[in-house]
Amino acid sequence: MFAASLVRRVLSTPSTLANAAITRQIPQQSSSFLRFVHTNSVDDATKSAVNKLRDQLRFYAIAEVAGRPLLITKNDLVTVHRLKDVSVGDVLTLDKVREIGSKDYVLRGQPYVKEDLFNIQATVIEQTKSKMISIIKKKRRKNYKRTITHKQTHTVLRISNVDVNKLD
Amino acid sequence: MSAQRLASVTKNGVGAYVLQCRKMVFNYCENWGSNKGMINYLKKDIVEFAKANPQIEVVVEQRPAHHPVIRGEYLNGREKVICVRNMAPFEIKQKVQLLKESSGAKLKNLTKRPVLSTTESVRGIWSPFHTNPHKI
Repeated sequence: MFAASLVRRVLSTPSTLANAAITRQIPQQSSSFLRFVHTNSVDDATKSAVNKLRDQLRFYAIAEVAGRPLLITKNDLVTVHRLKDVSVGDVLTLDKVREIGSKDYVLRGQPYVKEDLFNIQATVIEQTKSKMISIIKKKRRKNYKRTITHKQTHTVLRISNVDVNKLD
Repeated sequence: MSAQRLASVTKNGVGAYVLQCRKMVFNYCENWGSNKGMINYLKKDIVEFAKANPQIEVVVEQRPAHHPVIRGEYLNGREKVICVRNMAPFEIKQKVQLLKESSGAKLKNLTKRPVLSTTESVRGIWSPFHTNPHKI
């Protein structure tokens, strides 16, 4: 019983779950070139895989927040460098997700997971500064001493939602 | 079950977001020269700020023979005070914005851990008894 519940299976059928268009070749009688059609429909294999993941209820995601990949779950506090065009209370949707998983299953993107499959939102809580740090440069016996004081600016986000979408 | 663990812990931002700054007190003096920028700010910009932020209580008080000061009071009971002596109105506006956007928490070194989490690990803790046996 333990072994079965702790087995992790990677759900990656590369052509369907990656962030790439599904291409289909349409034969043309007169022309010699190939025409490609973009389709956004999700096939049954993808649906069953994603629904298996969704049934597990608790998720984590490796999402790129402000350019850095971070492992996040719901209710987390994430501190990043200050985001300039954002005010306190705004809700941000994270779209660059490398991996979204649960206890037994994981969805890995190549390089990112398709955006229709998940919903990750973060609320901007705070735009603060760090504690003051003093950088002291000294060269001894040369009468050289400099002090630089610095307070780094940060934006604090609360991950309000990490969800896998239901595919019908 | 202790009484502490039965009470729910608020996670600001998950359901609803509540601005942490609840009150701002602007102290100015009529006579001292360092208050010039503050007085101009109080004449021009403060009404706009107060209207845009109805959730913050904005108080303007005279404090004679002192430099101009902005005091922000927060929901965690702490207070942040910024002296805005000799600052132009646009600089005072920046300081007001800073106070509004902060929580009352003490300034910490925030670069050490980007993610602070109280959720248990989703995948569980590794156990040597529940992994595939080593094969040679």
